Amino acid sequence: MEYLLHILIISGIYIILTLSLNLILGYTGIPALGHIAFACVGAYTSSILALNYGISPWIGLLVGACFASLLGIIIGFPSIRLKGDYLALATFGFGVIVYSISKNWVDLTRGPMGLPGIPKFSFFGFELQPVWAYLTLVTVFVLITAVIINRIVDSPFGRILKSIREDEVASISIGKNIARYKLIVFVVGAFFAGIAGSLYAHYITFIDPSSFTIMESIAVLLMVVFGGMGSIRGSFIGALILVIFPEMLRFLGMPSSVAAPLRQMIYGLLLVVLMIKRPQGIIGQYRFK
Amino acid sequence: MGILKVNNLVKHFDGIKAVDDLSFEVRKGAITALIGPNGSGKTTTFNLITGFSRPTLGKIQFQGTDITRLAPYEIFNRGMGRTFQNIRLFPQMTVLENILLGLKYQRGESLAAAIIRTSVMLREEEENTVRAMELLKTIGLEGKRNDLADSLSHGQRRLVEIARTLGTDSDLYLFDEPTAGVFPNTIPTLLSIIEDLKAKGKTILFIEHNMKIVMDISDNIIVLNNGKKIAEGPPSEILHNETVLDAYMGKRSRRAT
Repeated sequence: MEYLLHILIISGIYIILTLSLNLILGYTGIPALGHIAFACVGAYTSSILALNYGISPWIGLLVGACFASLLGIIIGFPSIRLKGDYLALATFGFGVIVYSISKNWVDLTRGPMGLPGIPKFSFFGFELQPVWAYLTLVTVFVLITAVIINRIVDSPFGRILKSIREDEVASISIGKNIARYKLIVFVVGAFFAGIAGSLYAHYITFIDPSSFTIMESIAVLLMVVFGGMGSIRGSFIGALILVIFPEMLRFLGMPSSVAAPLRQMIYGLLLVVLMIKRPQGIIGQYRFK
Repeated sequence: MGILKVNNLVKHFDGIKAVDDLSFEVRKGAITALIGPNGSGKTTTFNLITGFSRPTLGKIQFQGTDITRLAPYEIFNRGMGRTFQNIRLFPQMTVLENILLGLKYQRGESLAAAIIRTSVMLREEEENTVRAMELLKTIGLEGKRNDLADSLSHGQRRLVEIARTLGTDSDLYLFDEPTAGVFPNTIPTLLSIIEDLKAKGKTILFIEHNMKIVMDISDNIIVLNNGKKIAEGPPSEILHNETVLDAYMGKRSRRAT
């Protein structure tokens, strides 16, 4: 039972990541490949604040999300000038840089040794120890994220985002300052990804750079594409399936040394099948270009 | 009274002079046609005026202010709307959404308003939808409101693009070949849209290859050849201008006939 709840918590954290990337990739059409970097900043910020300065994880979560947003501005800037493959490479590069910093700035992050003993969230003096309590917390954050992102995309603001995805030149021709919109989207997307990172850190209570490799960014990207770009429900489905499905491998009695690489192979295979059979994702309408 | 003044405009593309020392004025409230053979620099001139391309030299003034170095969206916000030769719609969005995007001054275009979902914003969105439906009616496509722009025919897409531009409520409209590739039975709709705009005191500058249309609706015609202005005047004058006929037909073939 506890194991099942654990899987749901992890799914919830991935749903937040997927929703926030969907805003950038699915709705605005920006091919961002370094999404996990925002979660990395959020996770490390709130963990270091809690461990070194005794700051409450609640405040750390907010500060971490804001730091992630700052990084969003930095990563967002090239997206104003670059397009397509070049932009994908630039964001990929940023993802690698953030990973390298977390690994090599040993004074701050303890590098590959990671940060152990991160405190859990507490509520009126009680630590959120039981798994179900943490699941409730994550569910609340998932719902907040989903409602806010749904409101953003289902509005004149969101309409402009989609217009940028469809045809930037046309969007400019009717007076939309698309550079501004792209930056805002990065800031918002990074903010929620930062929250996801912080939720993860205070749940597992240990983080190290291996949780924030480029493979994780690609996994989140797959969840967006798999569920459906430009679809909120798609993000839920994509994250749930791609988190839960590989877990089933455990029940086939496979050792983790086999299951881990197999997970990536399954991801790859699923993506190939999906691109051939249903390029718009499971319930998306927008086709990957 | 010139709403738009173009002074000594030059645009080089890797040594080729696409626009060469071009100067003209567009009179407020008039319909001005920009004509010339293929490759004479008409669309380049449009791109320079609307800010999509930076001039090598020269100055462009719009409503009395210098807009030469402004970004396209800033030029748009000063009251200049345009369409494209190769129609630019948002293909995987509905026809209604395409039109709504053109409407100016939407509160919901700010992030905070979108998240809070203020009642003012929702009411404005309803009003805008009514306005967008009116625009769809003028082009006779109100039945297609929920179809994807992608699914429309070429002529319908041309109309939607023009309707989207109408919604911007600009002072000067630049139409790049509005009738190209459109069924002949749609052309009267297009022409009545342009004449309605003029009746409302708007200014129109358009590129067109169909000479009958140019002669019928223009107040003033500017003729380009090789990036240079070779003639300018009302239709009656241009029709009998030797230089223009030479540019269009070629000297030799005219002598032969």
